[in-house]
Amino acid sequence: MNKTKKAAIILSAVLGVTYLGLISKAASGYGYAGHNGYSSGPSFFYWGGPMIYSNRSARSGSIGGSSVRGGGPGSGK
Amino acid sequence: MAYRLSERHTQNKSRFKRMQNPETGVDFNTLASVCIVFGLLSLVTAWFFTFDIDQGQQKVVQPTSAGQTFELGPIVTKKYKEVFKVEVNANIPIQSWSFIEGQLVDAQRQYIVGFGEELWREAGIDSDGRWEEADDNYTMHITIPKPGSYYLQFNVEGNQLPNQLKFQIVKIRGSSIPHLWFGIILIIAGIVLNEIRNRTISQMVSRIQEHE
Repeated sequence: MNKTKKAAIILSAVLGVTYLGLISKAASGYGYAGHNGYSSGPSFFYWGGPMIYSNRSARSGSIGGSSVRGGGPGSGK
Repeated sequence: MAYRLSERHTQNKSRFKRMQNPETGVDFNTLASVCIVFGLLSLVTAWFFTFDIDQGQQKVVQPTSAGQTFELGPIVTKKYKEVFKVEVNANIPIQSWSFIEGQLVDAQRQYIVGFGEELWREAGIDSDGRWEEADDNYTMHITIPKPGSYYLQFNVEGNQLPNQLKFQIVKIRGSSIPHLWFGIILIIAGIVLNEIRNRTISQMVSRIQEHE
């Protein structure tokens, strides 16, 4: 067996095992808010979407909140 | 140019040798192909996990006062870590904005997680003529950790109430994030390996620069 074939087989095996391992992560909702318990936010790898408030007191409008709500149109021509 | 069979054999062999990395003796083209095949497979898998697996629930409402709460549910989960997609669409009047906040609560209406985004619509006239821009919807994904009954509560605030709001929640197969990132990383790795061996992109850039 030449070196290329051997390297390709090893690489395929490693990638195949990783790919299969990720299926269980995907099926259990990895990366989204709540994937790691009720109060867990989305992971670093999740981008876009609305702001998430894992903790009620962090929401704007509540006492001690971040006051990020409101302010009018955020964009426009 | 024609070669005799024996010469063709020699030529193929020498071409194969040229494709190998002189230091390691490994053909990077083959490894690049493996990475790209797994990368594409992962991207298809990521897409597969975004599919809906039930009809979901939706509600269309016309808000009549600020701070009014709309409830969607019950959302019944039978397994641990079921994944849902929540979509919010608003018909927002021109030159107005609305902050539409959602909350996931349990059967006892205890707060679990909140989310929200400011939606808006603007229009005007400039030198190009009339323009209109809007951000009038958002989508979020949520994993509900434990089985049970849950509700989504929405309320709206803003300088003008939306004409109509549509909320929708649907169960999906899972998270696309693990395979999406795995696929992206593998495709980049495949391109880099191909570039090390063949210099495809470098040569393309050189050709473009020569033409310029």
